[in-house]
Amino acid sequence: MRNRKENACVTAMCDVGFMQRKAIRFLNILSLRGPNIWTYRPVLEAWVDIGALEECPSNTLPGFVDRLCAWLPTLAGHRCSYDEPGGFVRRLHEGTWAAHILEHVTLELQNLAGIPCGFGKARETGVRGIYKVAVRARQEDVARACLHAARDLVMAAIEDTPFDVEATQQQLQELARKYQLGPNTACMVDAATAMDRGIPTLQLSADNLVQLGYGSRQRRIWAAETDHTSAIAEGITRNSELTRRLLKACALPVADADKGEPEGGGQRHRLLVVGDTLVAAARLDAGAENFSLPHTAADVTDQVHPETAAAACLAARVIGLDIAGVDLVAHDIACPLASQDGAITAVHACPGLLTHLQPASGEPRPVGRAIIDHLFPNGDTGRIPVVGVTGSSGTTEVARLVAEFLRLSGKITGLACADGLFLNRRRIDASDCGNWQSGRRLLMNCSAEAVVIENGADVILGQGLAYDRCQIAVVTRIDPARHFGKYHIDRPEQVFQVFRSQVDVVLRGGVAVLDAADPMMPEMLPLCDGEVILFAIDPTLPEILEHRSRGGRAVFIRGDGLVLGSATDEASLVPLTEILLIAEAPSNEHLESVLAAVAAAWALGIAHHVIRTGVQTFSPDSNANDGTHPTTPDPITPHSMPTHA
Amino acid sequence: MNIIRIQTLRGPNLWSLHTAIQAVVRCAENELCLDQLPGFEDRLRERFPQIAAFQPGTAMASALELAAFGLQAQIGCPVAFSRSVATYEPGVYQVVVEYTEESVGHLAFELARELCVAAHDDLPFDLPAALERLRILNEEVRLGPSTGAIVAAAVARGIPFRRLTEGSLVQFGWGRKQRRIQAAEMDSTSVIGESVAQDKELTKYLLASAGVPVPMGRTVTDAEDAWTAACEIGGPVVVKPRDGHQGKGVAANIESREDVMAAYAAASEISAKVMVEQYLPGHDFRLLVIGNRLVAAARREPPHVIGDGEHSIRELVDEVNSDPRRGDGHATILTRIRFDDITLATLANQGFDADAVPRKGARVALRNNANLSTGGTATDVTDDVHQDLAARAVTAANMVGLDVCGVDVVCENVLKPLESQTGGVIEVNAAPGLRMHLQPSFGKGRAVGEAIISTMFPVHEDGRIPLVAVAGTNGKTTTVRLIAHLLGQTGKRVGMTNSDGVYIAGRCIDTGDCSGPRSARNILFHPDVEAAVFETARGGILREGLGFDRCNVAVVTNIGMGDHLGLNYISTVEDLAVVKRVIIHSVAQNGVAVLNAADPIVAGMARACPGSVTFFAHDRHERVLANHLAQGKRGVFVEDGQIIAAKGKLRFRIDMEDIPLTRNGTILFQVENAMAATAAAWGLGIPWGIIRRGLANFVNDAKTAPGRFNVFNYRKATLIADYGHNPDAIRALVQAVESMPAKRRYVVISGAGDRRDCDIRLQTEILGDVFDEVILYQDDCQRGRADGEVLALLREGLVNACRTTHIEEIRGELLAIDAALLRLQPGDLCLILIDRIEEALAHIAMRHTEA
Repeated sequence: MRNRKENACVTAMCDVGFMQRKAIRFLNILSLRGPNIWTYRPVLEAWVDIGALEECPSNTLPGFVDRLCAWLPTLAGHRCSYDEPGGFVRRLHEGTWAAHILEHVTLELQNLAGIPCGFGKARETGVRGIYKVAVRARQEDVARACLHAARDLVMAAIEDTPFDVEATQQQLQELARKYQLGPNTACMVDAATAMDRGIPTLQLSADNLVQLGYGSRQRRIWAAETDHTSAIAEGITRNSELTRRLLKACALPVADADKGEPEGGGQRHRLLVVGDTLVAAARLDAGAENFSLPHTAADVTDQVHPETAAAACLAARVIGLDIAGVDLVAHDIACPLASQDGAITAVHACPGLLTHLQPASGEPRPVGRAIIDHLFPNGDTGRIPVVGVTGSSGTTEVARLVAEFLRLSGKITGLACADGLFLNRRRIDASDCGNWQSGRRLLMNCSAEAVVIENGADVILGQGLAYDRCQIAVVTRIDPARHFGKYHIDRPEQVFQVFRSQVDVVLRGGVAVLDAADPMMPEMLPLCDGEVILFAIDPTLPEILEHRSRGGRAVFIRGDGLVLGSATDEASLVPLTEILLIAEAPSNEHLESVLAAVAAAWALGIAHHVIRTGVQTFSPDSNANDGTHPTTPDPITPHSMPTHA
Repeated sequence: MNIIRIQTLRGPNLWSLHTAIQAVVRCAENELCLDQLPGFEDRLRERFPQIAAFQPGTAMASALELAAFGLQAQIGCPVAFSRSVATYEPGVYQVVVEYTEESVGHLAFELARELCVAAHDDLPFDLPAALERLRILNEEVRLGPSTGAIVAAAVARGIPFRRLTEGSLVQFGWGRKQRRIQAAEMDSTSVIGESVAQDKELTKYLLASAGVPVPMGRTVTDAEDAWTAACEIGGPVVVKPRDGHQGKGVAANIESREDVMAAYAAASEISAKVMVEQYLPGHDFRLLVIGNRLVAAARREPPHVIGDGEHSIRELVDEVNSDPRRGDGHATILTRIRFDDITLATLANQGFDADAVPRKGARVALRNNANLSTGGTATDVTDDVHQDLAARAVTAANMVGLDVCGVDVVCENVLKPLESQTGGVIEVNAAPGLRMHLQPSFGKGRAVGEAIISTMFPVHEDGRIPLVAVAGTNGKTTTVRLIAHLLGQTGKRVGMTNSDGVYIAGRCIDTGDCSGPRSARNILFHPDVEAAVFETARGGILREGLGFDRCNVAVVTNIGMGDHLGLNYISTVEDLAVVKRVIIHSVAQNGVAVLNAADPIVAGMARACPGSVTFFAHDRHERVLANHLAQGKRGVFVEDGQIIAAKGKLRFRIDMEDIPLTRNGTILFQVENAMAATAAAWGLGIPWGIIRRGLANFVNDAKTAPGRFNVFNYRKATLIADYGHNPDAIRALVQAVESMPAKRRYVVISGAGDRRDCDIRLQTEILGDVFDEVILYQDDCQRGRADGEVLALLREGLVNACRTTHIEEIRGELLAIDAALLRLQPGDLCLILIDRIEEALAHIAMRHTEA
């Protein structure tokens, strides 16, 4: 992953123009839900027309900067292009434009709403007075509300009309609370996405149901419960008499049935067991009611006597819970329970984690991380092979070929492309599915062992990628002019920015498959965190030769055969005459598609004979369906993600 | 007739392998022979005609037995066993009656007693009321049809089960291998999966994502929004509560604004969130997915009647309800059709009221939903389901995250894929009812319980862990410890119960006499245990039966002259053998009984063993052992300073000097224990290398085996502390002592008051021939004896002693020990027969340190 060297804040040049109303108008607001041209994270991209304000940088609007800073004093912390606190305010004083101000105010309102966001950019388009403003959107609806509130606030400051900042902040806070993940889920999601774990997460419902990992490797969490948390075990914990009886049968000390607490008294402790390990322990402060609130218990994890820890783990096993909060009463947690008439008083499924995350005293415990390590042991990331295919043309064909190779290799393969949505040979949806939504559907599918997703330029520009990172990125031939005129794209550099998004997200152990003949390739190649495999019809291209000379791999045509070439070796995979696609419709375009797809298959480690069989038998028409029944348009439309207001 | 005691035998017992009520009953003089109690039998049969025929000369205890049995049989409990036996006490009988449900058995016993009293005193007895009470209780406590089917499937596979609650929570298998179910949920059923299934909208979202057809629709905010949603969908819709169950508040196939609004109002009473979705035409189907497989499918029909042109709808419903298969709950195949407001509303929609007489052949729906619990019927269609449709059902279960899942599908038929018709999955249910698949109203029943069991237990897995039971008069505890040790050497976490306590992987988790069934059950419940070794004392077997149904290896060390004779109507060694033999009856068909060939009563138990037998004896020429070996069967004996395990020409040899427990083979009773344990380990298939290693590193000292031949050196004299307390144990100790060098021999002994006089006397009779000095002591606890009584008996035993020259009497165990130690000279040997093990050993250890 490289840093993108762009100016975060591009000031528009103030040119002589025609007069308009001084207003900020949203022409379009795009929700980019995955990696995009701006950043790896979801953003809102607003197309903003600032009209006559184009003539009026901030320093020319009387009293504006003071009003703005008075309403939002925390803007003083924004660094902006000066990279120091106060940087943005300095820009305000020096003069900056409304779109840029809108960006900062939106971010600040998100901060004030309780959703800290750092990323924002404002850029002019080719049209005078019209900007693209991108702001990080951790939660889409909240970001959208902040964007609108920011527009109103900025306009009020410009026009010197009253604006109730406090009321706005409250409204936004409420909205944020409504959508925010609960603290239990949030700490696990944070732990999963942490750099050293890199587990992808997908929110499945607004109600804290979160998917970790992709496809068949996914696990689910819901608050402090996992998909392995047994419903029966949870039921047992709700029956205190039964819980006590079962624990007692295993000779665990339990409290008297009537009193609920042992006779000897003592302090209340909560021990958190994950898997078969004690990961945290807290002692409730005097006067505190229970462990549900933060700052009410002292962390005592390091003091727990090993026998007591073993007892807590056994209690969790007896009940049958993978994650359990074991409540016990003891005078001194550093001593065995038996020595002090200590006893277990309850076992909880779905224990609150706040008590360990925010103890009243002592160290906060990384309980989210402990649960994630339990769900994904040994550094597993929960990823399945994800292949992203982008480019100006041939992407559908490449995507279908790669999916076919994966399917032949024995993996249940999901494919989202312009020809539809497939799981192996079954076409789930016959409409154009080369989009974010369809990619998402595949990544959610617990059957999918590998996924191929076609992302056209429009998807990257208008929706974002469906995945955070991928194993393989394929960029087919780029034809910049084809993309001009949409999304304010009018220069080849911008087209480069679009397609590089795909290369940027390649995992460290992954591979980017690039067209050696493409003029943009040399610039794109170093952006990949993983390996690069080049493809080209002509094996003598200097790019191919150079790449191979540096130890790189390439796929090309030599003589009448398709060849897999590494630094020194060349392996002829298949004679061109045997490639069904080429036999049916010989053309360089098809040939390049085959080369790209074969390169991807090679990158995926698929056996040569499987790839060979794939190219010998694949034809897009014959494989559309397995023929068990005619494909009828699905009468059922997929729902958008349900919200639990 | 007086019932002195009632006990519940929850496992294999003296009488049978069945669960049973066991009572001790005292019959009055005139009740000993019913033939001589005029009119009693007639009055009894008048009150309970179905009672079985009596044997001539039967006592009233038998009437009680047959009544308790007959009452259970009458309500359909599958019971087969009952017995009444006279004890050696005149007029006292033991009555045993099998039960299938413990509380039903007890109630039947109580009702049988009332019946006998009523017949005796010529008082009324309300038989129908009694049977109804029993029936209601039985319905309440017995497993429901879903759980029952799963349990039956487990039993058929030989998987042990145990109910953990009076409800439907059941444990299958033992220890580490245990699994649990609750109704149609497995322990692996995810709480998240259940939450997802509860949320219909989320379910639809996930299903649609994976390409499972679902009806369009959404949650609505109010009645007006419900109508808006209905318009968006177009065509007929279903209005239902979002978090409902059993079809409550659901209105289907409605189109008009009024209907939608009214349906919203009804649904919003059930749940705050109401959904409006596309109505899918066709039938309701329930597809049952277990694991990754479609196991059963049923077409479900709402309750309805067919007009005959004569009867009113109400009469027609009554007629349908008169079907004996229809009951009031979930327990029967069908449930009675309820006639309530929903029924009336449904009728009103069709233009009927309850008293309307529909024309002949007219089909009148009584409800819109097809749930069995409101009177619906189910028709098995499992064999019709198209493979694609089955695949969608499995995908639906996977996407929701449920391993047992009822997928509700609406479509024209299941012969075609959903995609080829306007069909869809409308709901996914956790913990689905299995009744409709087990006993559908029409069509074939499906092996649903088997499917659940085979998901939890692979084909050759029965959830059992290696289980060894040990019984005998002496040597039990050491043998149990040694077998547990050998099993532990294989890396398994061994659960062990004995008369000292309960141990898991060597760690004591409970102390006291834990040789009863409760401790055994706790071990088998413990989630860590991978193998179990139980000492099975007679007390527990008599009181409650065994704590397990079957064992891999059963060891009977010896019976000898017996111990505790005279308690619980066990008066002879033969009686005792019957008790100890219970574990031999429980040996699995591929299991092994390890029996002492030198003890004729133990050797005789071989006939009771369903599995094979391994005999052990010091002398290979012991008749029983020699015969057994000659037949190529397994035997263990001693030869040339080695323990030899032999089968045909096979020989496994272990040098006695490599078994420290035996002190180079000098302590014969420890040699026997080692042989028994070796034979047991052999029976468990433990490799010989491990058995050898285990015998070599087995530690038997005061710390690990308190009171089990603990040897100390005290001022150059030898001290032996042992808990031996019956003539056989004393004999064994004497043998050991005689093999050890000593100038003078001392013994410290008391007697337990609950033994027979002759047994107490015999102990000192044996000792008197071997020991020079005897110190008799008595402690506070005399177990029902007068002060000095036991001491006098002990003294009597010494009257003809050939060796004893000095006898002392001391009050207090510790003082007696001190008295002996004082007299001890270097080179002497002192055997201390301790009673309060812990205190005595602590005391000896203290004196040992002082010296």
